[in-house]
Amino acid sequence: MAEKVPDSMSIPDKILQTLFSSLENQDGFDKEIISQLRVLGERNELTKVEKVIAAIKNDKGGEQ
Amino acid sequence: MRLIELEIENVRGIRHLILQPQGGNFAIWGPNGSGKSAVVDAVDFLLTGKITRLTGKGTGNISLAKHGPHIDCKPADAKVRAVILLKGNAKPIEISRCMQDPKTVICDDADKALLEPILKLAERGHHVLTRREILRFITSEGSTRAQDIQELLNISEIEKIRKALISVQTGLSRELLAARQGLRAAEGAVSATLSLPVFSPDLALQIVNQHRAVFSKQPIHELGSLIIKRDLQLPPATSGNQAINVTVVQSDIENLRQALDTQHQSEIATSDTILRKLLSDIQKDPRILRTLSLYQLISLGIDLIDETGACPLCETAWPAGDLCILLESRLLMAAQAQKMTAEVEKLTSSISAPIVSLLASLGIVIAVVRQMEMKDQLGILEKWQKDLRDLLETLSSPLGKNPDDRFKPEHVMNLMAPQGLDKTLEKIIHDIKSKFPAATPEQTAWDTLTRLEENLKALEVAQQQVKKSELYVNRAGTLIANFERARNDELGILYNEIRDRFVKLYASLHEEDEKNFTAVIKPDEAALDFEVDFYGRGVHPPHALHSEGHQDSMGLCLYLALAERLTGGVLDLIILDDVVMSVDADHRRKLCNLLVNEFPHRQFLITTHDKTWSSQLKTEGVVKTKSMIEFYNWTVDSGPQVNAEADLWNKIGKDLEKNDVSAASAALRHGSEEYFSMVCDALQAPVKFKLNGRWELGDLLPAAMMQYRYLLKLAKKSANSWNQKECVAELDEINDIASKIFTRSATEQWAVNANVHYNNWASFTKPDFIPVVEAFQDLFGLFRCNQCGSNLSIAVSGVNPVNLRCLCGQVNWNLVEKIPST
Repeated sequence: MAEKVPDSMSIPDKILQTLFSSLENQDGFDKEIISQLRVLGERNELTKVEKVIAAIKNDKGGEQ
Repeated sequence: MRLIELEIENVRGIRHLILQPQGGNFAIWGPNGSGKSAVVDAVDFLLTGKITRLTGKGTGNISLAKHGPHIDCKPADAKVRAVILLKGNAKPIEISRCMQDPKTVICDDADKALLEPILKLAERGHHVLTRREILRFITSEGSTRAQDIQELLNISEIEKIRKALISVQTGLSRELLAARQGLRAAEGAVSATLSLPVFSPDLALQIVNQHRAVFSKQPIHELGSLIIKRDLQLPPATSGNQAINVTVVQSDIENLRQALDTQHQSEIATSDTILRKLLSDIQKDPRILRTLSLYQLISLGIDLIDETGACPLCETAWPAGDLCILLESRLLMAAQAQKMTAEVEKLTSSISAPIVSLLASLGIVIAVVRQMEMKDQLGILEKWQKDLRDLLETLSSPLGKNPDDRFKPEHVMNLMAPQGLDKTLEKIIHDIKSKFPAATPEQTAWDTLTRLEENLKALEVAQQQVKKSELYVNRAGTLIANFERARNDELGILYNEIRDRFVKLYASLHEEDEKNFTAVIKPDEAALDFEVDFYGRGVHPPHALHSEGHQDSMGLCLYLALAERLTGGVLDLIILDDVVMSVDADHRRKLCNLLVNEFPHRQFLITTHDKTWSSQLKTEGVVKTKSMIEFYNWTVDSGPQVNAEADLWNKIGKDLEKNDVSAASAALRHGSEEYFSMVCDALQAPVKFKLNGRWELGDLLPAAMMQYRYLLKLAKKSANSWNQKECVAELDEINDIASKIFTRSATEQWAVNANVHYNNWASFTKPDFIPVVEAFQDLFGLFRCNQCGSNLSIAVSGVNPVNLRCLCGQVNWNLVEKIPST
């Protein structure tokens, strides 16, 4: 058997995609927060603690 | 990316060298110190702008600028140029890099975007495997291995995200803690204003309504800053300075007197003793807190165990029910830990709640004492305030701290009721009463409700803050739990695939002695466990029981299993730099087959100091003859001398053109020794054994020819037994050709005619030597296929040769006779 060709989507991208999909069914996460987290993921900014906290503290969701 | 041509100028031990792999596998062999690794360094530099060997531990005084160029050269003179072929591009492109400007790849602007993914992959070190790297995979600690492999797999970003999410959760938990402290302080302020021992909304409402009754107003039914003074009007001011309401201050001082109550002190002391014991128990067993942190994961794990009983994360087989029992016991421990931490919270709360209330009243009394300029009392109260705040801060996060470090039990009791407090409070109340007249009931009720109004505003803000903070912490918890679940799922699949591939590759090398080989590759938090089966006696770390040769095989197989997950189609080049030094000859042969059969789309650049391995690489079809070169006679001035069979005849031709028979004869002898050592290996020719391993042409060529004749004889006997007349005729023809070539090369006369012996070639005239060269060219051709160019080799059954063939099957002699039917 010859070697396999790597999947087109990277492992980190797959993990993030699974993560964001799973959040859609979670209490306390509205679309706005997930959208902000997705943007951070796309910009490779999920490692930036302050930005993630800002997304989590999304006011609209916080007041719900 | 495939390497078509490589030109190296003044890099490490090489002065000037051009290699032409033409996109195929390429091998360099030569003794230690012959400059092989300089080629690896050059490719490394071309792709990354650095030389990995010159970086890392123990290379502090080594720099690319100083030690990258050849010893006599400047960085500007050290260059590497390559012609490469990119996937999907028919036209090769040229790239180069100079050590004077190592960060810049020189190429056409149009090619830069195409190169980017290749250079990114190369930066992670995917293209070179050295023995050092092998040991890194095999012998390193789990955490280091995880880091290395994650770097290689380009998934280190995942761990960075996980760490960031943990920091997010920690930061938000800290905010929640602060918010809860703020809430307790706000509740304490309410309690202090209303002289309640502990905060109670119902009792507070009752007192509010009592004050409202002073104004003959209707009771209210809920506690709120906006309604407690509803319909009330400011009472007329009493005579004198009413900035200080004696009744209200007296109430605060009564609150402070609570600290002197012996029953109250006894309760605090009891809570303190139990708390200290509990914290001591938790600190003695670190597993308690660790298990607590894994509570969610363990709960989820139990839910996911299916009827097979296997681990849902790594698919390790467990006897049915065993894993569930283990996880349930850990869950029990986690539940116990949860109970303990809940008890800690309850106890700290029972101590801190009265402190918060004391601090609220203390603040009011201190303000009054300051206004009355009672300096001695002010000093005592301010010190008490500071000590209480310190104790409160210690109680705010008790886990992991030893309270004895800051507050001994007797110290806590002294803090709750400092010596001389009774007299200090007596003095303050006496002076206030003597200076200020008593307030009217209306004034006291109004002042109390006004102060409570502010307290309630702060309480409502604090409650809101806690509510929000709890929501944020829950979100962070959900985020990290879902992230870890997604990570475990994806990495579980990835590592299982890598494990399966690794096991398959390794088993193909060691099928005869490790038939049922298995391995475990599984993430363990931030580490990566890698254990392998040892002859059916359980799994162990790879360097625990296996030999160095097996470890090298494992490292190589793991690297190949990892590499194919990553670079296929982008960076096809894999450099194996002397990686089989501990692997024996038989397993090297199998490794050749593995490279050919399992990785047909890769381009291997292989260096080795081992002649046998270099021969095997050719005979097993990993590299073609023209793609194998030998480095020898390295000198600091010239770098390595290069011997390539493809260039052999050109070199000899050029030497003869210059009438330099001596050089031509030396080249022919050296090239022939190299070639026939490989032929003898492939045909298993009986060469006279030499302990020093230095076989000369006089040892090799007669043995090769004798074996060739013997095999030809076997083939003919076989063909006759099978009545294959055409085959017999063909073999007769081959025999005639071989005899003529042997005669022309005069090799069969070496024993009887010293004048034609190869030792005397240097003294031949040019006209005498040219026929020898031509005969040797034909002689070389006799031992290889004229269609695929591979050398002929035999297959054996036991000790008996059964077949002689080339790689393409054009040459295929059956050497086994037909067994006569009885």
